[in-house]
Amino acid sequence: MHRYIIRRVLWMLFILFGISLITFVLTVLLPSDPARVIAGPRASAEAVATLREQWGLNQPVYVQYIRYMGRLIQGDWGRSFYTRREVLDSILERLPATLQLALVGALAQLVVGIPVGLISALKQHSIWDRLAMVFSLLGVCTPSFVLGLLLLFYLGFRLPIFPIGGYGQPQHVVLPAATIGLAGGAWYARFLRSSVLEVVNADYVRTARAKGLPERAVVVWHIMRNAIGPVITMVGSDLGYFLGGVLVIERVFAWPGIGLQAWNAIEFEDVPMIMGTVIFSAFFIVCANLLVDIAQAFVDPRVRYG
Amino acid sequence: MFRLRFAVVPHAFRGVVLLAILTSLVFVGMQWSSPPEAAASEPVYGGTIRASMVADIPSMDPPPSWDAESWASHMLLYSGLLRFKAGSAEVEPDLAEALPTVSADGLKYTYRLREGLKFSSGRALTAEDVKYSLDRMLAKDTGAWGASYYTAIKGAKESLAGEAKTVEGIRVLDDRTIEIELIEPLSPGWFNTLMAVTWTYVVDREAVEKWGAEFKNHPTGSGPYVLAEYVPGQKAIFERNPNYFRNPKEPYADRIEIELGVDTTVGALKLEKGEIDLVSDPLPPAALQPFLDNPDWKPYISEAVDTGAYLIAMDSSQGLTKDIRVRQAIAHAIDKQRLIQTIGANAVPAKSLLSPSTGIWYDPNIPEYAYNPDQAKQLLKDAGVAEGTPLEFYSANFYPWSEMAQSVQQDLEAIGFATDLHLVGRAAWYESASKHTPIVFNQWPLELYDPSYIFDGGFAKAAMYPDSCCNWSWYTNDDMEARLKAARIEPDANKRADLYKALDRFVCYDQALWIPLFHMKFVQVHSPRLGGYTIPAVYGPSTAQFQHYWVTDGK
Repeated sequence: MHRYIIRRVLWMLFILFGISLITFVLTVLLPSDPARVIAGPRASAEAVATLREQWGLNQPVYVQYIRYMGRLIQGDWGRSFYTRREVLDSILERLPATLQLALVGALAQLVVGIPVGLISALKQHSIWDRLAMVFSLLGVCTPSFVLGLLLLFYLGFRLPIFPIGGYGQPQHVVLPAATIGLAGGAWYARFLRSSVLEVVNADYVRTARAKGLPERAVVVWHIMRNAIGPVITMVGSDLGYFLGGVLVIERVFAWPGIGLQAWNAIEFEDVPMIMGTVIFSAFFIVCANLLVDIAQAFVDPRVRYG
Repeated sequence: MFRLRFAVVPHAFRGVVLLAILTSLVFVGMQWSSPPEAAASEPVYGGTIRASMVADIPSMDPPPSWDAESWASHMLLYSGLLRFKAGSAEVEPDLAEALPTVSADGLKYTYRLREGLKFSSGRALTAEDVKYSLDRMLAKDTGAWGASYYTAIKGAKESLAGEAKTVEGIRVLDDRTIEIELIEPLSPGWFNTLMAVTWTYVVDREAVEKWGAEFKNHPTGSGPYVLAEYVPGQKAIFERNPNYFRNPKEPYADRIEIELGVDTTVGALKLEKGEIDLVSDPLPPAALQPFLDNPDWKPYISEAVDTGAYLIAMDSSQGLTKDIRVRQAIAHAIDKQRLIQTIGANAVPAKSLLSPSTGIWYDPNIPEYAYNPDQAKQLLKDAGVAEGTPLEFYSANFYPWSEMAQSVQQDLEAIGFATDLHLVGRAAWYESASKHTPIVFNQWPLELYDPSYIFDGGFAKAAMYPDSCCNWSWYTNDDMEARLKAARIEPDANKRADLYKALDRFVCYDQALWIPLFHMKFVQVHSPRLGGYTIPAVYGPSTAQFQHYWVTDGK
């Protein structure tokens, strides 16, 4: 087990290194001169050259990368081209907002997804099943920015129950989390439905019913316990994914998280900030995957030795 | 019933149809509300102005900046020797008690400071502080983006090159008097404008030395407001500066709260609901339309034609477009009306670089190359350009540049060119202009409100690539240099305007170097309780001047 974990952690470091290299190469090799972008369309060559010098952009690409990684390892993530603030400070001060949205959003996905998926599987082919599947189809198909705008418009503007965007009070998190919950919950419902359908006719379920267990106990202890696995895996990797920022939703709701930061960085071709947010999110995604894998290895020895 | 109708929609499209319905509901729904009653026209004191911005504020330290958000913050936090009048491009004294006196040779400007000036910290503000701030703006390490506009000041070039510690031509005569000496005369109108731009505003030396690189997050000046709270990417809150020299006459509102990182669509909803008074960025057409459709909002909608033009510049030094007939043919080939429709812009076709909104600098009588593909083909024939001649050019891969370039591409194909259009990222697009591409797409509004900004920037020898920017048509000769200089230094405003009108005609029509395409119209909505709002004339129309606004309910 220890060797398995060590192997996975080494892999994780390798993947993070790979992601940093690919992102760096992409931002540098694209026909895009950051100094030119910072200086604007009508800046003189002299001004661009001064900026290049100031930001160390006149060095060869590999030197820039090695220097960047060297500083990164020492905890210096560089400064944003656009706001000229420390990248790590900017990301860390946005972490609480992203953390809040990630946790509440993941919870909302479960609250929406589990009942819908369960009912639709247990009442297969009924009207409830169809309604649930229409809901989940809509949820899966609707882009989250449309769903977010609809919620904002009807529940923030027409019926002013919730604030229109913003951050700070508990009520601010409701609409963005509901958007994640509805969109993600739709996926969960579909997954849960198919995994419940797989076990609902299994021998041990029939045995449980035959020995006279109440239906509720059958569902909770025999069906759900065996069917919930894939959903837990999804929650794990979703959380990792959300912690890197929920780009579109943060943008729609002016949620000051890491996703909004990344969005702005991409818009302004702000290379240090793009690198920072990508590496930061990659870290969470890789960690979440690692934890899920380790958890699975504990549960299922085949994973460990496979 | 619904089921029946829905059944005729092919299965694969149902999702799309539903989405379309849902999306349209958002915007249809927006038309259902009305604003509360109207604003008074006299300033009201007190209260809080609330606004939103899409971006963060990049730099509250004036010199290293070139963007609407930063400029708006500087006008709140700092004062300069001069400033622009509310909603106007006219310059008025700010820290100086009057406009500067100018020596007979036009080289020395003397400013006399008002009495009893103080920084927001309470420390006295003297001529030494003004010199410190100007020296700092012109120091190599400050990285002031607009520094190159001030190189007419004696010693500025040496300071920017790092060869001098202070600027020789900026001298303190006494505590309240400062003199600026130039190496060549400039029209006082242009130099006054430059001295009213926020890059020259006075910073508190003590705060600069205390905070170093972090000064931009701890800005300290002598402006109408002080920074009360700043959470990067979230909010910036400004409160009245009790030590401001115009206090209590100005400013009007006690507090300004700006939410940062708010998308314009969401901003429009907040505005309609009354949560904010202004979205400082331009609203997208879909978010603007409900306001335009509702007559109740009409009193709160302002509209202004932008100062400059969206344009095409052509290389006059080599290649196909070296021949003026080819440049004229391209000018005749472009259907400006269709171009405007293609990009869905609220705009008017242009025939000059300076728009009608620039007043005396605009010449309504400049002739233009009307849309005429036949004449264009004839001109190409005369120039010996064969059908199917390749023409390679670049534009940006985002709105509206990609759409503009594709529309122009169609026009050029129609007169016989075999075009090769590259839509590229921002930097590659900027860079392409320095590569002798025959056609350059760009725009040039008067962020710095003077024609010299465009004409010296676009046609002077000093603006030639590769060392400088942005002589996009690679056009330079002694006659042009002389004309530019004459206009740059002419002290009489009317004579000067005539010189620039003639230049505008020369580059757009006589030489067909640049083709003006259209002047964008800027439409802005504000809340009924916001008073004093007009579309800003300087720094571009989305640079809000909160220091001149008030809230009519005083809350």
